[in-house]
Amino acid sequence: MDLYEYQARDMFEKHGVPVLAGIVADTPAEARAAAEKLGGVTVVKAQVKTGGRGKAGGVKVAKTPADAEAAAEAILGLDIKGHVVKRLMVAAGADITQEYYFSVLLDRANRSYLSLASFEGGMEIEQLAEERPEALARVEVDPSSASPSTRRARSPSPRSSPPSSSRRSRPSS
Amino acid sequence: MKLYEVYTAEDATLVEVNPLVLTGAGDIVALDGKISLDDNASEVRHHEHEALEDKGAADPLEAKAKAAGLNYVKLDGEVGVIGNGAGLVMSTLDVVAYAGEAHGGVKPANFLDIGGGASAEVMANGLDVILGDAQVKSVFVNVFGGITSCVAVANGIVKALEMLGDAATKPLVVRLDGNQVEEGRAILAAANHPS
Repeated sequence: MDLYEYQARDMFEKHGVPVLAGIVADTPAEARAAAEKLGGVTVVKAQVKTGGRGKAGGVKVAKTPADAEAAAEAILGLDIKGHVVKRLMVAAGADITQEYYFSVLLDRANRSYLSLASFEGGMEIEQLAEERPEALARVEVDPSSASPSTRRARSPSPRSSPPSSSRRSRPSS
Repeated sequence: MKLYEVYTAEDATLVEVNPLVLTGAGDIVALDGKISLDDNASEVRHHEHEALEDKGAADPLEAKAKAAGLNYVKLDGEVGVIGNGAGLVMSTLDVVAYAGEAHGGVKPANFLDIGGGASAEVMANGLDVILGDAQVKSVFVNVFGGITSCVAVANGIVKALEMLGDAATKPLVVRLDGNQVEEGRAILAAANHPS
């Protein structure tokens, strides 16, 4: 089962992963109330289980609660690759200096866990893997022996260890 | 990083953060997240995951198939596949993908097992789901009649084509063999579907 972004956010928070405040909204009025509660600049994000939300107009920055309401109006009901938006998350705005990419996934072909990391986050990772595979670090994590210390020792250093392009594997996104 | 803990503790098959950002204040924050949970583990070890399920938002084709009680998985290719028995369908996927290599990497569009003893209605529902997939350019039906009668399969195909009417414009290739094969083939021949 794939989770919605807001569910993933909650799960991250539960395990101590740093996340920004976010409130779920099902109507423009709720989005406005959420933006008022959060204060400052907010981001109204469509909750759909598919990629490319930003490009499809499903993510909008709102400077005021009224903006958030208008953004919600525009995003709710939007069809993103066959997924109709019924729910939003209003998240606190972030002051972004740099964007990274990180994932851990089950690598069935290699009977192992695979961790991917890149200094070039933000864009679609499949595209990055295709066009510039050297920008994506791949680290195999042994499921049976991974402890926090060994993980730290094996954490990716993209610039020093370019991945082999012959063993490409892609996360499903 | 606690992300690996999320991955292991929740029995996920994917934890993805894109973007993970460095803020002006020097903090690392997960700005967007994607988690895929292992349904088998959720069933046994994480009953709380059940509350996370959104039955209304599954893949539209998969939801339709699930409603019809079909064993369907959407794939990336363009050849719709229907077979009876998971093993035969898996083999068919392999054969289609292998044969497709000679045609510029043509691949199967789905897994669909109509099961043993499939009725005409099940066959019709299956075809309906597959022909409703815009990616599908042709359909390959591979049925070996053991418990399933080829007559039921042939009737199902004909009934589905009638139901779909003008929507059923995609070429259909049927391999029928086994139980009541002669009668089944006669039904298909009599229907004389143009494509």
